[in-house]
Amino acid sequence: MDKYVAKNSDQTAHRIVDGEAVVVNLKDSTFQTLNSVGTFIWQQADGRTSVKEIIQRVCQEFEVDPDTADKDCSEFIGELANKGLLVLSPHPLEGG
Amino acid sequence: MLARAARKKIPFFCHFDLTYHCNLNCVHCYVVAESRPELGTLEIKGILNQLAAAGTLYLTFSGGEIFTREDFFEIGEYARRLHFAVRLLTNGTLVDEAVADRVAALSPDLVAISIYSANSENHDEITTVPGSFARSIEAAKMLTERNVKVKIGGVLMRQNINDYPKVYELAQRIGATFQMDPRLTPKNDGARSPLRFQISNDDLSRVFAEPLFSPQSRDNPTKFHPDGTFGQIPCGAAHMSCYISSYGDVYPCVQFPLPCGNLRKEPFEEIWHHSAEMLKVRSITVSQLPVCCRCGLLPYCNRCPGLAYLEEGDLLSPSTTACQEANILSRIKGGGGE
Repeated sequence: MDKYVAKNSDQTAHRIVDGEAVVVNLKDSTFQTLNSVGTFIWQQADGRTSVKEIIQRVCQEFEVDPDTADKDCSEFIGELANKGLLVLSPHPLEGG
Repeated sequence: MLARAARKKIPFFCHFDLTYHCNLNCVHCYVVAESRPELGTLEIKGILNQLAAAGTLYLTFSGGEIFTREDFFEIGEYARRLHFAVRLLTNGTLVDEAVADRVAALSPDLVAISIYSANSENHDEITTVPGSFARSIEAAKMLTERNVKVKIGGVLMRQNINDYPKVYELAQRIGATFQMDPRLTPKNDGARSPLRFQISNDDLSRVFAEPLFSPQSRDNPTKFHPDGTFGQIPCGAAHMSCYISSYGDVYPCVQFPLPCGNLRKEPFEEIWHHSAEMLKVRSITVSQLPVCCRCGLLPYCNRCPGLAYLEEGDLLSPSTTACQEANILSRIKGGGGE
């Protein structure tokens, strides 16, 4: 997964409220709030940045050790992708 | 998140009437068009930018009839690029295959289509346009076929009070959800002509006892919560929701006829955070409602502050409509009524 790029799905709506991303899944109208790390990841998922690069940026931004960041972020990104909130692709995606 | 939005006064929900023009002429319509020019495309886009910056996430486009605006999709697509969760309220009669394709491409959170009866003659009598039922139903079908979430229904009145079970069945058949509101409201200028179609208290009792109607009372997150869900806030109006008219006037809610400012003269943030009228509405707590806070029917109450203001001209008064409904609900749930 770490070579894949990540992009906010166009089947979502979102807003940063009080520093936290509120993301609506337009397929089922559910919404969830992301914490500060989740919000940072959401904002980095622009369709051009790889998962590996996103995790590196999380390490820098939040001063987390790389192994912890890799495990936790990969799991989180995978969850968002499974829910249809993020799209993962081996190639850059337009409209990030 | 909703409690936080209410606490921090983030206008999470905005109902934006894009036009008061409509191709139907429903007998109960509350909309009153004026002679002022409606907002243009660029003005609306500017307002959307401001709403996004202010934290609005859920954006409902309504009217009038939204598809009478030639620039509707330009506006809708712009809203989606700003990542709003867009909801559309429409009569559906102007939706053909091409329009349905474009609506689906917007990925709306919901499209609500007004269907007043499953009987075409009844429905068309209410809209006063022959053939409107067929076109509205066809729109609902075209959109559900494109996996758009559709809700059908409307408002109950004397003409359709016995039709709602069949509208519910119709919704089930076409894969839509169902909602009918038992509450007719006066026109936006206070004229009470729509209320001549109001259902009787006996019919209201029957409706409130119906399981079909109970979920919708929990469907609107900004409604009155006497259980203190949002502390002492009477409802979401001016706390986490607002309404914008097709002339750029900002109100606490679509039901609240108290203009707080105009977006052609002031920025949205200025009106939302500093308008005297908005601040006044925002300052009202449940304990400040002199009659309501001591009322034994409070647990059953669905008081709309806007409707109370429209009915009585007083921000703190009870709402006659809410009192009637609370009485009925209380009797249904064994509270005895007053």
